[in-house]
Amino acid sequence: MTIGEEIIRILKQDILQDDDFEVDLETDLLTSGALDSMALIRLVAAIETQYEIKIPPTDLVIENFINIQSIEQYLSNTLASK
Amino acid sequence: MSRILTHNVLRSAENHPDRIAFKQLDQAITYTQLRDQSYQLANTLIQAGIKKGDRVGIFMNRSFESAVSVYGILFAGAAYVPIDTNLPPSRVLDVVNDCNIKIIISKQQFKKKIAGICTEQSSLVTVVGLDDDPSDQVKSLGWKTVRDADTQAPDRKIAEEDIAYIIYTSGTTGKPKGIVHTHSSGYSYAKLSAELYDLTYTDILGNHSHLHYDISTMGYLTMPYVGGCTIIIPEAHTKFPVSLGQMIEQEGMTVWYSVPLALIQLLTSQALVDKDMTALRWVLFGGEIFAIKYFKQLFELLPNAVFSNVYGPAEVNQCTYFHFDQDTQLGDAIPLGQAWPETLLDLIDTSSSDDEVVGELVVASSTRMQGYWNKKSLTKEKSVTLLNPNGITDTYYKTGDIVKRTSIGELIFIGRKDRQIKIRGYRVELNAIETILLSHQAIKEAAVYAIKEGDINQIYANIVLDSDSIDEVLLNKYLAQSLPTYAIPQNYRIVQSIPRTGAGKVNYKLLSK
Repeated sequence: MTIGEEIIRILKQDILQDDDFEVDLETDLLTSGALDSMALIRLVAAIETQYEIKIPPTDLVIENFINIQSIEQYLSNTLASK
Repeated sequence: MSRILTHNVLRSAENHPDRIAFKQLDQAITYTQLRDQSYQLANTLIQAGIKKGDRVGIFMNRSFESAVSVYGILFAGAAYVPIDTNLPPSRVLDVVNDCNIKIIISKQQFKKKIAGICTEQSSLVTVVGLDDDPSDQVKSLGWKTVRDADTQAPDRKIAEEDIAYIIYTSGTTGKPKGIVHTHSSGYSYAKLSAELYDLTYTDILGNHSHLHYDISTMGYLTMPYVGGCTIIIPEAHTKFPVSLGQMIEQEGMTVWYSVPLALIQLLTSQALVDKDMTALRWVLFGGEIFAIKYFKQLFELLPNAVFSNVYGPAEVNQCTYFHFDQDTQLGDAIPLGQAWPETLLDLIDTSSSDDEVVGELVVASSTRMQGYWNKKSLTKEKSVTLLNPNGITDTYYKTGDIVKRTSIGELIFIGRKDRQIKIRGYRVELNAIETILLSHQAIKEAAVYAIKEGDINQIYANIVLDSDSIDEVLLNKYLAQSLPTYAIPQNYRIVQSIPRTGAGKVNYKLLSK
């Protein structure tokens, strides 16, 4: 499973508990109203647990979390420099 | 001058035609455009059958289209009803049917949620803003239809006492109740807040709040009164404080108004450090108590801004204020302060000791609501007729807030008369959660209470089961059908019995220890 697929799985199964949630790599997660603030906090926490990292507050910016593609990109960079 | 909200847009379009009225990221609308596009929406709504006094729903997130929606509805002589898109469908239907909404204004991205409320029980007939019809019964009018509509002023006479907007909030019974404001009460708020905070057409306000939350009235109602600019902060920025900090700096915001939590997030994520915040001259906060330790840190971080505690239930918009400057001595709590103009405050059911009086705060003001929608007895229950200081009888709204009046006349919040708590500024009725829990077949008894952990209220539910076990995930799903997410208990405790007082009432004091 790629990082992107893994995030989609976490999002559908653990966060939203909705297998029918329509999402692809470029779906805007932040402005579409799909994720409320609580869901987003849970998603960040789930990503931290899954990849055993701690995302610093300064990295919690829109550019890194706007869609699955951005999250994947951010995580690849972070994991590579771990 | 008559107190009619649409006059503010007309006046600002006349005096400041090319000034930005509302802005979100790269989208901006001048006062002339706001007037003309609102006319177009109003004409579309009238064509679709909207009559004077009708209620029109606004179902969207923090978005650019909300500004035109508000004024389009008002120019059509109707009242706008903002609806939280995160509410469960059954609760959205409660609101739609309670005030008989026939038209909702929305956006394509909410297509699925709109389809979910197009049931046979729904009063909905038309949706503005979807590309296709959401169901067989409900027709859609796309935004394109609105953009092609006539830009002439619609022929609708609006009076001060006409209803302008209804804000829904949780009711004790589990069903939401609608707070009805007229053009007069909304305009009075716009005028008084503009004067109190000395706002002008050069001001740029950061509007953090959702339209369905009363804090948004400063952006949507007050700024058009002065011809200033409202930045509608996008959803994304409310979730990422560091990005929000950048936006406050880049947009050169001069006024900020939000619940304390948004400010605490900016503070704790270091979003304001090393930023040029010199333009920011007012930091307003309200909706819940600001923990003093965070307040002090924020106060030191923003030395150029004057801080002001805004107090007032949505039923009266605002009624008191407390300004801080560098000389203010901070105690353990932030005072509610003193009454603002056109407002009378009194305390009822009082007890006094030394120079202090404690009682329920009641308010009579020009900004007071007309009443609760379709709930005459509740409106009456929450009102009291008193002789005002001028010797004339006046109707006061009973806030349910217990306050202390000190010897120097300052008001301090003590607690609630009922079991209402605040979570992120939203009202939560603990009794309503109990009612819904008790409607579950596996639950025999339930007691819901709140415990403060740090500065945040955590909701606990003690339940006595009627069956062997209960699945917490399923229980949460059950509650989510009728409650907003913030009102769902974080902790369940399966217990054998619930402690009661001698009179047989649930002993909440013991539970929340």
